[in-house]
Amino acid sequence: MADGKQYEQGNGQTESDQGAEDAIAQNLKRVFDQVASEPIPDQLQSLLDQLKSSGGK
Amino acid sequence: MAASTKLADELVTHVPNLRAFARSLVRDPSRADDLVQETVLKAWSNLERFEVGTNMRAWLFTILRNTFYSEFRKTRREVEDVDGQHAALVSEKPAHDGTLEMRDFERFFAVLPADQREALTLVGASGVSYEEAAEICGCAVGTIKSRVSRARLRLTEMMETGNLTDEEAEKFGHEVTLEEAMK
Repeated sequence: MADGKQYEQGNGQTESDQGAEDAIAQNLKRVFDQVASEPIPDQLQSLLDQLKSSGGK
Repeated sequence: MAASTKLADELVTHVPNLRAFARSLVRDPSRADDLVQETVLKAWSNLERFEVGTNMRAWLFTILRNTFYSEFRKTRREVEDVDGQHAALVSEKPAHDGTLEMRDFERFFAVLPADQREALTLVGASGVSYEEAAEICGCAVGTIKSRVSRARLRLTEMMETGNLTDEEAEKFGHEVTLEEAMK
């Protein structure tokens, strides 16, 4: 994919490393944001609802 | 108790980030959510210990991390040196709609030691500063920096060489070899 080209095209060690660094940074964020933007699973959500409705104890 | 209701509301807003952080430590989604659930329960029962005005996200990350190392990991029989490999090997969930590259990245990431995964996730994805990460992990800033740089170095190597054995690649259940994926 687009990211793959970064290290594929890097001829010199430095460019290649830079490409990999960028790809790492992008992938880290992508994986993290993907999970963070998922809907909360039902079981966890119902726990949270329970806690909230208990009105801060 | 309006104050603690507010805190409870704030706690809930951090759950998405907690889930993402948990997933970097525990690859299996449902087990990662178990860890989040335990973290939420602990945080809830210790809410009065939270110092209002301080960083709740860092506080929650700390609880999650401590829970992972002190209990969760033990009870789940995850062993320090091999848990990454183990996690990678047993993981055969299909990628959501992710690209092949992304699946590769996740596999490479999964074989890093846990201390490197958490350091990299904290500073590289969650938006936590090096200083906060050091506090969360209970170590020096320099230690976080060195974990992050070792992790990046190793990932770079893996991305360039795709160095997983054929046997491992087979166990992952992918038809395309890493060499092919890198071309």
